[in-house]
Amino acid sequence: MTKMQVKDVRYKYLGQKNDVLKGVSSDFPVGKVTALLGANGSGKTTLFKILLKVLDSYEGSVHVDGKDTKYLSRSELSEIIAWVPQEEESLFPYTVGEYLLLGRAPHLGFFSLPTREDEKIIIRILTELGISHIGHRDTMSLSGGEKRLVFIARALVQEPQVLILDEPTAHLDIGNKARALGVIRAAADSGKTVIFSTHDPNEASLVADNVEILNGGEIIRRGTPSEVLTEDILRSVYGAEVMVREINNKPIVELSLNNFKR
Amino acid sequence: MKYNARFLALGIVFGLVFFISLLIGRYSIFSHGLIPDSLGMDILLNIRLPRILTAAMLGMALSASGAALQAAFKNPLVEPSIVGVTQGAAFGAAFAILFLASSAIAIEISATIFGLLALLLTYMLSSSLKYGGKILKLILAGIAVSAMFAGGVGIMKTLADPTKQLPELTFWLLGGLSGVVWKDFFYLLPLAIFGIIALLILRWRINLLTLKDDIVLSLGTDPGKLRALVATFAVMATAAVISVAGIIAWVGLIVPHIARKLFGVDNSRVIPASLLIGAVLMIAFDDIARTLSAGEIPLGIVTSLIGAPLLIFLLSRRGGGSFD
Amino acid sequence: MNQNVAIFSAVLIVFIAAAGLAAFIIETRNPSQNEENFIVVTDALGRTVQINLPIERVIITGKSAWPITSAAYMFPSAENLLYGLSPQTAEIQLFHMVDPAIDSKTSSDLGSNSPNVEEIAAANPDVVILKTSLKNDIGDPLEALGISVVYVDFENLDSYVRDTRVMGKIFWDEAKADEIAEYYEEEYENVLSKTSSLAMGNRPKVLLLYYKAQSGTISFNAPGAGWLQTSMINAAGGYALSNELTGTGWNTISFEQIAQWNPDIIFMVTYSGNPSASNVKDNLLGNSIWSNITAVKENKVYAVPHDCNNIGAIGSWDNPCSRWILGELWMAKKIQPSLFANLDLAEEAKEFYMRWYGLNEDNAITVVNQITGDL
Repeated sequence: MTKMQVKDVRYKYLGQKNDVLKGVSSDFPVGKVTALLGANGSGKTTLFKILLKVLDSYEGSVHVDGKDTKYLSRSELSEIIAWVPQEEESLFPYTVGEYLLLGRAPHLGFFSLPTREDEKIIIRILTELGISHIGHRDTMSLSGGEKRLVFIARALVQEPQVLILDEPTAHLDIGNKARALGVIRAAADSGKTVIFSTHDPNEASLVADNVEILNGGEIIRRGTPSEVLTEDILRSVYGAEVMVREINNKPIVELSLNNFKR
Repeated sequence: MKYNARFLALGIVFGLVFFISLLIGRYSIFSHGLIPDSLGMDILLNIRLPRILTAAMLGMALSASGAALQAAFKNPLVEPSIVGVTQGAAFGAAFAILFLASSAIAIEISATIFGLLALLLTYMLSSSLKYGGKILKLILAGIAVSAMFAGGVGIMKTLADPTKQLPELTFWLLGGLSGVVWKDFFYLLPLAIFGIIALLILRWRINLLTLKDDIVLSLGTDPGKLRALVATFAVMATAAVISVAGIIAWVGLIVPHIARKLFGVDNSRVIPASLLIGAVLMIAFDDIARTLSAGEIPLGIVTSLIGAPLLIFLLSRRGGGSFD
Repeated sequence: MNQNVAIFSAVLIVFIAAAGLAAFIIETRNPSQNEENFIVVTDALGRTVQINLPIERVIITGKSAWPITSAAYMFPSAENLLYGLSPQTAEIQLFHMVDPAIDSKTSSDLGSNSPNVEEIAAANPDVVILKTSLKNDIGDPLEALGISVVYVDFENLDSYVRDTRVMGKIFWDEAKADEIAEYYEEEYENVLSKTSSLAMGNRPKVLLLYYKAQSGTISFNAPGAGWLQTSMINAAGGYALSNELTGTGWNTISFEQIAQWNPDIIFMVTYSGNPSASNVKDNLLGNSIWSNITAVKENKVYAVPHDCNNIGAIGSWDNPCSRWILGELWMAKKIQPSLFANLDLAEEAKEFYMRWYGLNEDNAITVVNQITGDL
């Protein structure tokens, strides 16, 4: 069942000559993970911002539960969709708990303060992610991996139905990568619609139900990992020689040594 | 939680400072025994009490505004007098006294409008600067705009005031509570309380402004609108007290720093804490201004003399210049 | 935790507001009035002020207290009532002669430029006389304590006469006030009647300069158009160049502007003994840059007479102190010598001190002899 749908979305940044997105159409099913692949600068972040209505002067339409998001306020949308951006800067040494509380904003009245209930949700999410021991730590003193998990926690605290993550595994060691990907899979299994972008096709292979490739401002391929992650497609998108093998019905992508002739 | 205990302690300190301040002054009210004579009672009720209450409101308004502006602009070095709001409000008040009806309402509306104008100018000027990081740009722009409006007050006083309606320039530029009577307290009370209560109500949501604008949008709040709202309330509270007290600086900068050191960075604690700490400090400063010597020391001088070194001390410790 | 904080803050604010409200009720109580024994005066700001009798102590304080004091001492009864003068007043020979007991009436606390309201109240005045500009800072808080405050201005003949009459009521000597008023009006009229017909274009250009040397910086300043000095020059038959200045404080004037104006006559004041007006005048005359100014060329640079040992502005005859009328006569004689050839300023001054300050002839002559400047 489709949770979110994108129809023919075009977008051009002010001052740019060309459209970044040239007519993107897609749909994202409930309870499934969709991985978005694309070269640097292909427009993944732009697409996400449009899904979130952070950018709102686009052509085309975006639908959630069948409703066009043009007619939903950002406030209503924020109760449904949560975002983990590539970077979050913070000048403020909030504690982890205080920082996560900010994620409850969509569900609180404009003049209200967080309640005991909100604090309970925070504790629950921290426990689920296995990081409840850092609840009182200063956010500025966390390691890269811990920070990323906190940012994901901040989105989960929003209790969204749709979770969008922009390159959630960037700069993480493999242990933290595994944790982040594990969260992504668990979120989908618990009924959320998850969309994440990555540069690593193997991550898509590991946790995604669907893979979409964004190239030249359009979705050029959509399907299961096995269907999309083929040598021909990857070579044409990334311009690199790859070898694809199958292990346990999942494609494993490796760079071919032909790239590195000595 | 330890914060509750600290709040309680602060509250007790406030009560003590308030009470003791009533008892000190150039006139010794206990000269005739434990019960003050009738002049002493008069001085207590009609000179000291309104003045101390005004000092408390002054401290609260400037501190809450400072804390709110620091969060809104993600800049730990701003306060109303650095971004031009204080000087703009003083200009507005002088303008109203000279050219509009000298009623309290006209003065406060004019002070608020010019305070907002100054803030807007500072903000726009800072975006167009080519030099320095974001924090520095805002301060540089603020310096320029503050100077402009302070100069404007000077011009109005020296050139446009043949009938000597305006208080002396030294009052505007150095600030002071020497002439405060009950009437002045009532003038500032409604607008100042309105601004302070509005900031109190928003004290948690202000935290959102410390995140990147994109993220705030994804959380369902328009950061631009929230920032404008917060700035407006901060300006209102500042304008109300500045029209009675003249230009007072530094307090809005130091107090939030102290509050953050004691209560962490969550503004839902920092703003109420700033109110208390600001009230205590300003009452103490004014006590010094009116008791230390026979001649009154302008309040702005006391806040600068003590405030500036205090700030340097705070900033030179761990993390200076950021929100630590 | 957030709840507690909210409650606490709300309580704090409610407390302050409640305190304010309670005070409002207190404030609207009327101060006790002794129905039978009081006088009512209308002061320079047009307010009706009630002063309870008997009046035993009058305090004149704040900025501009000195000139007001000099006017007060013209009333013989003032001696017994005045208190809180600045200690420097007692150093002035003239005032010592007027009031030999002046030392007991000084107070360093009250005599400062920004006196503390509580201290003024503690001195128990029956009425406080202040310059109009001190209403916000000193007058209002004093009235909040129920102390009678009377504002005076003294910046031109009309207000001088009016304020003198007010002081006459306070010092219980309205007859004397009438005398004083008559004298000032007559003398002023004597001057004006001879000069008013002179066309502005035919008058000498006169510039009054206040030389100020403060902490290393030197400035020449001129009074504003609305000031006493300017109107004095105009009345004395000159064209006051300061007519063209709008500022309300002393206007700092550059040498270029002075050169541009090229005054025919310069009146010099310094309000101090170091340097005195005469010192500055001598320096000027020897200074080559100034030698091109008409006033210098024709030797018409005059140091304004000062009869208070060069201490402060109180004794300078251009100031709104009681001897400004002598200053008016002096200016008339300097500006229009042919019209006022019969004026003998030394004689006028001697008679002034004898008549208005009760000095005997010897003392009066002593004072005249120590007048600095170009009498």
